Amino acid sequence: MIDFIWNDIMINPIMNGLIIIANALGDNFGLAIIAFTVIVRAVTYPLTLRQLRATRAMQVMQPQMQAVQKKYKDPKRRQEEMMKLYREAGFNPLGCLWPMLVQLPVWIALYQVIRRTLGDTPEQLLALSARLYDWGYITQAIPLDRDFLFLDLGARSFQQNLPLAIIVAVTAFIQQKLSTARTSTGDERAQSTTRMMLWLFPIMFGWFTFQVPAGLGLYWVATSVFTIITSYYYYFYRTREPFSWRWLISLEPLPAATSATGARGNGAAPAPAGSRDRRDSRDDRDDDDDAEPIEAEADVSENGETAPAPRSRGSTSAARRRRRRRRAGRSTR
Amino acid sequence: MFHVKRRRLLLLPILLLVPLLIACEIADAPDGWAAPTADPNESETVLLPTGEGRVVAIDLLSSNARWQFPSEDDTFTGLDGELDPTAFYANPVWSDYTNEWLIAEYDQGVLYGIHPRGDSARVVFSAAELFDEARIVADPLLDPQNPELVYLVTTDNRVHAVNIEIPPAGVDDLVWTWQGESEHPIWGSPALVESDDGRVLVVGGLGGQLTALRLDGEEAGEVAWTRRLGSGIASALLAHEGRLYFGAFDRTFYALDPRGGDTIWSAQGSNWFWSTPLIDEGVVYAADLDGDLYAWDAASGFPRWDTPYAAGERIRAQPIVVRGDSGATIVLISRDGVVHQLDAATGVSLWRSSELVNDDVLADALYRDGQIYISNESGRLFSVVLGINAATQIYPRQDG
Repeated sequence: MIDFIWNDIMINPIMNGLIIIANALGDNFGLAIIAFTVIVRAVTYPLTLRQLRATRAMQVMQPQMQAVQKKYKDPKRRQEEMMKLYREAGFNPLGCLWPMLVQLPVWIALYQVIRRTLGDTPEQLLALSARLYDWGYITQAIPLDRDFLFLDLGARSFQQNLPLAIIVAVTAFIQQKLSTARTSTGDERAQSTTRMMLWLFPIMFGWFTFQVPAGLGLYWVATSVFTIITSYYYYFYRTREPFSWRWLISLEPLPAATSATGARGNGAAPAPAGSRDRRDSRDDRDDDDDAEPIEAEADVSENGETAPAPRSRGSTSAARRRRRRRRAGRSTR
Repeated sequence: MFHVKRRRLLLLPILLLVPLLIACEIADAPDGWAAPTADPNESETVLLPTGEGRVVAIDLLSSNARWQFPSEDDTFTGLDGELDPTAFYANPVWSDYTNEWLIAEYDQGVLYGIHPRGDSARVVFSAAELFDEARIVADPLLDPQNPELVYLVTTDNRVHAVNIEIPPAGVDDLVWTWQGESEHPIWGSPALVESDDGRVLVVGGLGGQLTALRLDGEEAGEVAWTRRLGSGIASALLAHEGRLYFGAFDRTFYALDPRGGDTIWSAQGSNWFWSTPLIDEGVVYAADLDGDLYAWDAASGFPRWDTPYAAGERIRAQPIVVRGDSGATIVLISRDGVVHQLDAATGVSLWRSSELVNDDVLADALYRDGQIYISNESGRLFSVVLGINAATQIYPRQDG
């Protein structure tokens, strides 16, 4: 069963699809990988959008999160209150993980596809024949041209992959920087983690590039570029936040933003009703009707209880739940 | 703090990638598929290239190894230093002229000359030393008119004429060398064809290019003609009665005129052709990677059977003809280690074994003294008697 899912639903369709795309693009497997990246990113765009929203929601909730952190010294209680805060806000912190979790099998599948499709031993090519769909267009396209720009897409040589590894690391750095642009918090520990990730991910992916065929490195570059464009659009272009290229190449995280979508200064107050953020929130709902609202503006009272702040517009899932409970109570009465 | 934990969570799957990738690398290592080859001097000896990068001379009666190359300590008399051959795809060739085995190693592209009793060895030609990325998959081809010459095809699209008596120390010492322009390698063994226009060596590569090189006179090593097919050629080319036979990745089997490369006839298969064709009694037999075996009239291309024989599994090994009291039969070994015996005249199945050899079979089999010798990808050698659904493991010897 697992074998069927992995081979017949993941590997073989990706492999045959890539061969078709490569053939259509003039026997260019590099362009096929880039086109494949665009397709994958388009298919997973709803998840990406959810991740962007979750990241932004986290920024909005920073004042409340910091208040909880300061209030509770007991880690267990603090965790409970944080989860309560998330729940009240209708925010799912795991939403940030989905795009990564979806990407992982795609990476592994693509790695295997490249090894099998561009493999250089006779056994690999022989085994490939069993995976090709029975279309002359595909079977006659083999063997594929492995070259793309300065790369042999099936090779892993250090010399060849060095410039690619640098490109992978740089694009991963920019991607990481943009994706953490709106997660700046007052928590020193969280900030140091963010700062570490800013370096760790690019170095790690740069190092991976030496271990895998160049084609996978190309996929990482294309994915990063796609994510950079998406993040820039979502965090800056759309919100008209000021953006500086100088900041992008600096080693420090972006200061917190000016509005609730990115209010400048840590611990900034939630955006007032009618601010720019409300327009964004409306836009989000237009984009994705099923998406849960994320702009929870909870307050932490002196006694440690968290209470949902009045909503400027629309309703949180918690509010919906309360209304449902009230309606249910009326009907039973 | 969840924020920190979430980041750690992200790291975990990425770190898990590393062992996974390493595992995949191991699976990609070449095994080779050189065939077990009968020793022309010792009737009971078979040379077995194994998947571990060794060649073992096996005494069929005792199952003992007479010698192995390299020896257990990875050295060999006559050769300097530690030897590390990775795999053998090219079948061993016996040279009467130098009285030695010529065995081509894959990764370093070295042609070794090994004394028949395994007493010593020498390097006849080292492709990787002279040319980058030059490996050897195709069988070395001895020139019957000039027995001191061997034609070697390397994967970097080169063909070399090597004097085996005087091993070349450099490129200038080669009798001649030719380089093609394709970006794709040549894996298929070449064929030497004689025609009215003289002798030509024809090579076919994965890029679909066919090239005929002149072998005689001052034009030796020069291109006689070239032709490009729509897809790659991986199977060995077979010369027979002044014609050239081979199958290609466009699922087509070709019979060509060696004088200019024109198609005499062609026939359609159902998948890539990779196994070496067999010609017997005017009939050409060719198997494809769907496991279908076809029989065509070698002269006209007319099908000899009503329908092709369906083995149901990929076939890389060359078919074998076995003659018995009731006539000729064709024996096929499919990748899953099943032995198929068919009536040569009709293609009707006479006998079919179960899976006998516990691993993939990609190497050509050897028929000798009523037994089929089959080597699998694990480097084991088995013997099978047709009609008996059992295989005897010859090497490594199973004690008890």
